Amino acid sequence: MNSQFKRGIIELCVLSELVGDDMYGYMVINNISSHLDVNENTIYPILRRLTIDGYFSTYLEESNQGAPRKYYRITDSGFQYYMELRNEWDRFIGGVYEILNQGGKKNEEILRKFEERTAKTKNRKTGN
Amino acid sequence: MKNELQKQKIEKQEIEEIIRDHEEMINEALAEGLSETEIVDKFGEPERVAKDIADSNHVKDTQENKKFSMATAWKTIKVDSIISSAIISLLSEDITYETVNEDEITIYYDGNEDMSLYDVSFENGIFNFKRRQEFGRIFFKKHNSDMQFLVKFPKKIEIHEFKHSSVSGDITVKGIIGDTIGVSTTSGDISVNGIVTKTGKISSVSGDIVMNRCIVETLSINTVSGDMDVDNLAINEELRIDSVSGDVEINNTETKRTAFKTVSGDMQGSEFYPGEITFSSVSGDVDIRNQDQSKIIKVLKKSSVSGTIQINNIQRNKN
Repeated sequence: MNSQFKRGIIELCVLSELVGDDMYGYMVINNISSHLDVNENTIYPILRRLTIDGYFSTYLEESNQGAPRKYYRITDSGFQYYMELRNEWDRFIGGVYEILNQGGKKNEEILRKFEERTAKTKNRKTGN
Repeated sequence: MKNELQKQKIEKQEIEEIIRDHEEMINEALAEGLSETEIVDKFGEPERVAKDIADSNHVKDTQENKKFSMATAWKTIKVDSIISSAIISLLSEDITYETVNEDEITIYYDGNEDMSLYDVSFENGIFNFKRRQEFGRIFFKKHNSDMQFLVKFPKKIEIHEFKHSSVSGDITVKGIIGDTIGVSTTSGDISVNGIVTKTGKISSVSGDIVMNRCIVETLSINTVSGDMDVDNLAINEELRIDSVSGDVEINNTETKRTAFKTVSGDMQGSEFYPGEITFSSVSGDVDIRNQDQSKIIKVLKKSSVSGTIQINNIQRNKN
């Protein structure tokens, strides 16, 4: 996958996770990797980069795990960036679906259309 | 991993923070009962992690070192009659508009964006400058959020309609003279200086708006959460301000009629003579302090849940 494309999607997911609640790093990574096949070495650098860019602030909180956890909290500019990115994503994915749906929305419909088409070309070839 | 980070020339302080973050995350994974191989699987080889972090750092470095010089004159367009419309539509670029004693429009730029994305035309008196829309671009290509433009218009040539819209870039408008001037953005800041127009419309969702030394007949300013700072405006007819939560500060400004609508934004004025004022708010207040007691301010209508209106040289409408 184009690495910039992947990065953009992970950014959107990381922002989305943190829009709802403050979270610590491992939690963000776990939540995302339970849906998508990405690991820590993709997510952590993005989390860190977004923090340096001012989209997240961090604070430490004691945990029953021993060492305190670093929590990430989305900032106003982070929220704004999320909205921009999300808007862009919706438009992009909308465009993709417009293309896909031209061929039919459901599998049966797509299959039927394809069979009709292949039947036609077969007929043409055999001259019937 | 520490060694690997050092190889990538990351600063010592940063390395310690990154190591600390990873210790925390690995401890969480261990506490969850993950085995060592599962952890390596989840976190990747230290060498790879260090490289990914360094990569995302370098992007930033080159951006920060960049200084804008506006050295490149990109397009020059000769204008001999009038500009009936100047329509500019951009995305996240910062832009400044100025007027100069020349008879051409010149566009300067600085930044690394692919310039074939921008279309400029001047036909039948209509000047168009826009960025082509490419949905999903942000996901495919490196995002160049640091583009800057400077557009110089001929001072002597009339502009009937001037319209700028963009999503997140900051906008500066200086000295433009036109029948109607409209500037709108979602999150960029707007700064307007020395414009002369019959109808001015300035709107922003979350950006701040600053206006200075302008002459207008009717002016409407709109914002959701951005603040407004207005100073030294001569408004011949009417000033309309709509804000949801943004605060408004108005100094040294005079007009015949003012309408201020807000939910929770406050208005503070000094040497602000709003003429006849209509005010509606949920909790926003109005507080105006003026020296000149001879200029009459009439409150035509006030509707507010908990907001108050205070004008020190106020003359109340009966009833």
